Amino acid sequence: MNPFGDLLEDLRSASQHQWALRASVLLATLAFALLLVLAGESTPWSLVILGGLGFLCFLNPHSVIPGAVMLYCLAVWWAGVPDPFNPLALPAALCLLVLHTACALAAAVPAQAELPKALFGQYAVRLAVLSGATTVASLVAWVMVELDPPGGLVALLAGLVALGVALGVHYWMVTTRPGEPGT
Amino acid sequence: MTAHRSSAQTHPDNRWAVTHAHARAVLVASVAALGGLLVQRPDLLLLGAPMAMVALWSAMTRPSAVPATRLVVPESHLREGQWGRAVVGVEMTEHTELVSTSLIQGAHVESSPKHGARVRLVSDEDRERPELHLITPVKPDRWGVRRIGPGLVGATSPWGGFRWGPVPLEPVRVKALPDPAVFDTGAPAPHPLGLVGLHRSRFPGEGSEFNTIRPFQWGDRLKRIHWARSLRSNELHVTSSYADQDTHVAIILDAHYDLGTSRASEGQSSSLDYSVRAAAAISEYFLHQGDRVSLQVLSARTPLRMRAGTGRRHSRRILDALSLVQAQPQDEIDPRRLRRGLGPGSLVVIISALVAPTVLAQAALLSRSGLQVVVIDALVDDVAPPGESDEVARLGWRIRLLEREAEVRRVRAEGVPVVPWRGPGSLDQVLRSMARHRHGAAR
Repeated sequence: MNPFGDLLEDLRSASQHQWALRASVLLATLAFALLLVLAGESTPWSLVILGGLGFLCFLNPHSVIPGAVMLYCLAVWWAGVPDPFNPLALPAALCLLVLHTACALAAAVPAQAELPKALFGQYAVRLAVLSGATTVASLVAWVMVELDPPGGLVALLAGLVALGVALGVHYWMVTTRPGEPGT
Repeated sequence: MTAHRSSAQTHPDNRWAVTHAHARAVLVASVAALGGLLVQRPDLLLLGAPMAMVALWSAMTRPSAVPATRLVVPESHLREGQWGRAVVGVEMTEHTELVSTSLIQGAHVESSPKHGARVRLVSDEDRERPELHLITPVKPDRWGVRRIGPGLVGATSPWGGFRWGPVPLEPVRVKALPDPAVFDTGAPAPHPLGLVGLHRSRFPGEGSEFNTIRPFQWGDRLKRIHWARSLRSNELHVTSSYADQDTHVAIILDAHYDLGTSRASEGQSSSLDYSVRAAAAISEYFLHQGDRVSLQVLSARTPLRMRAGTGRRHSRRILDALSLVQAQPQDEIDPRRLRRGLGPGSLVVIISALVAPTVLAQAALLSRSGLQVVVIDALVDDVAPPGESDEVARLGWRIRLLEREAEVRRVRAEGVPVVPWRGPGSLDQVLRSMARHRHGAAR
């Protein structure tokens, strides 16, 4: 088994739909890089670095690389954008959403397979729903920043507890043994 | 129906597992939330918000039951060049969104699409059915036992959050019957015997072809009375007919050698391909006429002797037997064994590439014993010689071909016609001349 050979074979025989999904991965990363440069103090070299990382995601959408790249995106945003709330954070969040979704779909099917057209329609609707919800969340965040409510340590602890509870519930949900295999 | 439960159920991936995509969504959302809280950055929370929603959506739609799967080829047999269906059945479970299959292309099997990968988005109608069927068209391009698969099947939940498989599907073996090349001849088979065939006998008897009008004899059927003639002559007259008769066609297939390459995609056929297809065509033709056809296969690996029979079922039996033929040289051919079951008047059709002289010698022996023998030369011009790249082998092959020509001339001089197989009409001339010279051989 040669993983590099498999990778090349996948690319050589990939369907047009697979190419389109992988191209979306690259474009989303580049768009995020552009927003990062526009929003803060990052150098244009961010475009080159994130472009390279996006290319790695393009090659390996089914691996851990996209996750690492997305964490790197969070880190450079935190480091490169000084404002606690920047309006460009909303499109940047949507770029990460597109990057994630395209990687997930590209990894879900054989590279050679043509995807059903209805799938693209279905995911367009889902992305629209999540984009709407993210827009609402961004408005809430903007209001919170503008109002600057007092909270301090209590709010932080409450947030951490909520995060811990959410992760615990998630762990319970995904580790619950599903039903026995059908026959 | 040929159905196989795959070994998927014991495969370690036969479960719904968290994908990299779901782990990524949870990780990015958690890190963004943690970072946002610790460094008081709402924008980080916002960057992670869509991931949190995706993670929540994926977790809420986690499939609960593991589906069962199988690979099925509904047709028990296919003809070479005929498209069939490889059906991957996947039991429907809740929240399954995308089902993918990938069938590996076996030797001499073509699939559509060529890579065999297929994806199906599960619709609401699909969810109401107990099993989802993903159909991949497959086509065996050579006769024989062909392998469909193995393959892989997998499924994912919404957002690609959980994945079942890919689990392996065991291959299914399907018999590909030889395609009888269109063989059409208007010539009658010589020496008809029996009373059921379509060939017109030289003798009067029960049949459908008019012979003459003659005076009534005891035993004549009343329905044969010719009333017009009887009234004119004041004596009962009946119409008489020629008997409809059949013949025994004994096909002897020489499967000692398989020369050349068999690659349907490039239009290349081996000598055994031509032999098997010619045998299939000849048997189909004579069986369709109502004749009795028997089959002998000369091969050390798949020797076969099939009694004479008629009808569609016999035709199918012969095609089945032909699809299992494999080439292997035999040390010697027992002439008594070859002669067994061949009565006087049988038409013996020997199909061979004639690369070894033994078959021609046997043809001459059978001819001398009073049987009508036709040899079909299956070494068609486009069959590539063995050892083509080797100069010495090429020279040896040319010498062998010269010897072969001399052997063919000798056997022709013995009265055995040798006909190169050219598909339709190859035997027409020979059968006509044999019918004309019942006691002689066609030349």
